[in-house]
Amino acid sequence: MKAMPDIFAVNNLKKSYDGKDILNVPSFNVTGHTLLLGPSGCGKTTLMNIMAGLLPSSSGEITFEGTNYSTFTDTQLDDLRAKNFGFVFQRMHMIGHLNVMQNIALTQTKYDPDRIKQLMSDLGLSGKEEQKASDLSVGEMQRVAIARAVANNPKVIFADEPTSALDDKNTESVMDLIFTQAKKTNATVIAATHDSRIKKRFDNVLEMSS
Amino acid sequence: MNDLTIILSSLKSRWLNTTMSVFLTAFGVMLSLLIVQFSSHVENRVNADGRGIDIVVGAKGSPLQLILSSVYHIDIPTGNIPYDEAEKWMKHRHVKTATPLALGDNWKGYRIVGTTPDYLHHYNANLLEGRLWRKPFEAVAGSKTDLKMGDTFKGAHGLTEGGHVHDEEQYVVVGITKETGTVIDRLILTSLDSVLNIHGLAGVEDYHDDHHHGGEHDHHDEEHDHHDEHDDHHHDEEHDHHDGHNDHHDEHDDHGHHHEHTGEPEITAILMTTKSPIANINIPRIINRETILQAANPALEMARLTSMLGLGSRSFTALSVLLISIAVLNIFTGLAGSLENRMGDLAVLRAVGYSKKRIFKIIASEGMMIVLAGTILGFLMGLAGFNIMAEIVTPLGASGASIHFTFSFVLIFISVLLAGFIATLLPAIRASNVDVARQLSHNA
Repeated sequence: MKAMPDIFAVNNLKKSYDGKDILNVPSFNVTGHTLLLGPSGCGKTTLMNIMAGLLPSSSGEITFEGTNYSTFTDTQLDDLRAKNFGFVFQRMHMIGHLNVMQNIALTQTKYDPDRIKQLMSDLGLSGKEEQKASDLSVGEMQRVAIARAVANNPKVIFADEPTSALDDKNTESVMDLIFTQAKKTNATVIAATHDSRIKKRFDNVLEMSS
Repeated sequence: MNDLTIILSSLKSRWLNTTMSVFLTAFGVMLSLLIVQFSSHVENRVNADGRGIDIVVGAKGSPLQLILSSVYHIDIPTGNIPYDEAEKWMKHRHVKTATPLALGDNWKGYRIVGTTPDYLHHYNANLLEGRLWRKPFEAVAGSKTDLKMGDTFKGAHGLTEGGHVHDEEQYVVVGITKETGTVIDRLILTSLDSVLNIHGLAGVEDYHDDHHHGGEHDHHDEEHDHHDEHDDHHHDEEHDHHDGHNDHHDEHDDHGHHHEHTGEPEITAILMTTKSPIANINIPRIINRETILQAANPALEMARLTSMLGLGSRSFTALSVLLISIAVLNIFTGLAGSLENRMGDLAVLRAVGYSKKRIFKIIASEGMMIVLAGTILGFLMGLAGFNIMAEIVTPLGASGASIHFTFSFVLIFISVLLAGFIATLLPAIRASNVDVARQLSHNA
């Protein structure tokens, strides 16, 4: 039986700005929920952005499910992200003039309102469908961001500093929501954070230093 | 979710800027359209109504006024001229055709023109139904007047509605002309005598009879020449016309009509064609220098008028270009300005898989929707504006101004869309090249 390839395989990945290396990762593989842990400026967000196809690397190789996408074109990367990745951004990045339903629907390659309504119900957002995203509380935005990340049933959920400004209770709550949804869609969570409180939830932890 | 939702929602969120851009575009398009319509209308009228008329003779005054009132029927005449003086020039050896016109009355704003059937021949106007007038107070109505065969009406003094009604005489419509696309469509034609008599002047026939009886043989001979000339033109109707005048006298006698036709006959103008181009220059010169009449050259006067209108038209064109430019700049600044606040939104879209091309389309479409809405609104405002102007601006209404779709409409449409597209180009390119990772890491 042919072995399943690793979700991600990173090999000699480098990122430089103005001739200065800001990221240098010899090699590592992602086989389960992975935390990129380190202080500000260590390059964890940069690494996550390269893995998510949002930023090109300067050198090295990176594969997703066995496919090397380091040399993908913009269009190929767009397609890769749309079909496979979901995002929970540090500052949520809701599109203020769209309502909640519309914000969640942005990630769906095929519009599925039933799926959105189910997600909203799961995340305690029922009744907020028509509310403008700009009118939501921070907590509600966080839940909408999670719903948006999983609305297209991605294989990987990238979360950038998902709990950075939250107290312990809310940190637990947010991580519960992310992992619950990830479990439902069988997605792998890759998070970049300096918050070691969430370390225990991950299968692999890549500790990075500046 | 389709992109249209994103576009409309974004435009709605910037509704003030969107509305302003739409209206600026609309005003620019409206102004352009009005200029095009107005120019096209003037050109059509100048060409259709003025064709084949070399010289217009009338009372002294403004030559342009004489042309506008006698050829285009959109101004008041400069005055009247004695028929016997006019007749000398009508029979001048260098004059090929001469059509007398007697103006002064209207019915519901449609001018009643006393003339000869030559006037109809000049514009190749044929009858749709009925016949030509055979006696005074029979009328042939133009196709665009509200008159039908057999209708009777009373003329009102003056050339616009609201004048004193001539209750003593009533016209009857005996013919309707086919549409010609010329000024004839909006006129009511009748014999010279109808107009002369109703104003207390002797009819032309009366006048000649008096002179015949007076023993002015030269004049009598001239009259014969005049008739011969008409025969040469094979105007059978003219014979009817003369018969008609006799009928008119009989009718007057029969009914004991007591209207006094004591004044010497006067007409308003003569429309002439000459036998040679040199006559076009010489005849007006002699008339203007040596007589109490005025002769004007329609081509010359209309060239002057269009030159004057051209100046105004160019100013309006410049204004419309300015308005459209402001609109385009407003669209540009609206898109470019809002882009600064939207880079985070666009980065999210790129992150979740929206391609650069798709982002370009979304931003460009926002601009193009403003341009399209403004253009459509501008066209509607322009059409409505022109129709309203045709109603309230007397010369436009009197000259039958109506909307004609021309190629210029397409040119305006394409030009504005192109200008709009250029305005959206830079913001759309910038938006599609958003630095996703940077925006998502740093943007609030």
